[in-house]
Amino acid sequence: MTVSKVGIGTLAVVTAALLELTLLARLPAFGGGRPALVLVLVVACALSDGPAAGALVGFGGGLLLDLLGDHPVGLLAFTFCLVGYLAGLFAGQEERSTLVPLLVAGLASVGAVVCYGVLAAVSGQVPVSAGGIVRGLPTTVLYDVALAAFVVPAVAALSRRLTPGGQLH
Amino acid sequence: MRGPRRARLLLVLLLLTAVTLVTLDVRAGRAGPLAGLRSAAGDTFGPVERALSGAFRPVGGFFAGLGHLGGYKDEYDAEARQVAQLQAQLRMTERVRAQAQHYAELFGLASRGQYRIVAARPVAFSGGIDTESTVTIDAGSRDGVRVGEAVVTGSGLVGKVIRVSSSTSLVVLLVDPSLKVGVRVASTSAIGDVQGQGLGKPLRLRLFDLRATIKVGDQLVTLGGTGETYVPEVPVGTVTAIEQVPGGLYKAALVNPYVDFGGLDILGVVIANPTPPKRGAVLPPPPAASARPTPARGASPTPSGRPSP
Repeated sequence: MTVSKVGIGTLAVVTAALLELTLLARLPAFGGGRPALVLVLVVACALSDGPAAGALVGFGGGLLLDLLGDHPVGLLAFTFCLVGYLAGLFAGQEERSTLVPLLVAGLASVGAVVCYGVLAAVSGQVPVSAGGIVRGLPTTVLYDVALAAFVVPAVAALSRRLTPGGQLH
Repeated sequence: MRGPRRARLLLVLLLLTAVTLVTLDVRAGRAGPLAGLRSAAGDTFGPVERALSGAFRPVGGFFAGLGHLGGYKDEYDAEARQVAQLQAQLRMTERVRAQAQHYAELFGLASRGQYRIVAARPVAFSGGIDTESTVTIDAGSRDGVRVGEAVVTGSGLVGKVIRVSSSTSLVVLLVDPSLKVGVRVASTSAIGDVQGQGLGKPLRLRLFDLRATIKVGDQLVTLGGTGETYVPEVPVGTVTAIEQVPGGLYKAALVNPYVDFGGLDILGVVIANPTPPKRGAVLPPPPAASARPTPARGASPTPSGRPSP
């Protein structure tokens, strides 16, 4: 992983987090579900650079959202780190079909919402209800899949440009 | 170069770090070592959020406007709610009305000069995955906002400040399940509390007096009082349905909040007096400097406020 890649990755995560909280959170939230741009970015990085990159970007992005939110610090870092690693296992598969990134993004959204819900309940600090989580889930998944259609190719192209010797994983 | 074994090791290390962070944060509560990190993040990103939010505000207005295109139902609902409110007012007897007037005067006096309102606008909202209902506002410690203070609009209570950085504050909304607010039924003065059930769902009211009567259309106001940061008599919502609690220790009802949490625009943070008045001190010093007699009800002193679309 090159220095420029780390720098641009950090910048991308910060930008995604700020866009998610200020712009995307203003979109209509049916059932309370909102777009999760940082998660989509984590999935995109994982698909282009593999599980290690996914885990690292996931941890960083989740931690930033943790610090700006109300829930205990570390909940989203854990969730996004795990989801990033798992999404990274699909790296290289996206050449098979353009649907693979969308499918991975959808699965990642479901996984992240469920994983966060369970962790939040276990932590005992955040009142969560299974009903509330299920109601918002379809909206979040739809938004994320739509975002992934743009973010995944963009990140893949950027990653290729920043990697002189081709694919790393 | 980077095999799956190294990736697995990295994953385990990061997950352990995250678990450690959660443990630290949960154990230490609001004053732990991570509080400093949080306020640093707020100080760093607050100004950026404020700047971005100014640019993105029309987006929210656009979608709010879309909602109003098919808005006959909204309009009908608003009318229906108004009728319900008027009916509830009519049902108050003359005596209770006089009493209410009396208390309103008392609280008006008590609050005159004791509270100050800082106007603020939302700059950021809770993110995609977490379940909390919070909003970041563009007023912070340098504007005098402190943790625990009540946030209101012209129509009623919005929530409570839970974290403050220099230029922004984090507010937990009334609809968030983590917030519980002491309330009083306006017509009968029965005491209870309301708790949120998530965005888009009604609040839940619990009345502790089993003999208290509660009916659809009853209005709720905040209880306030000593030890609470809430200003008393801020409107909270109207009762929309009575719940049956079999063998319960309390009476329950569903409450529709007055504030539209989907279209928050101009808010006011009720800044408490730095030196809270003693219990008996109902009469305030001469109100020469006070501009608004009942600040709890008026929210936006800024004339630059954009009317909601």
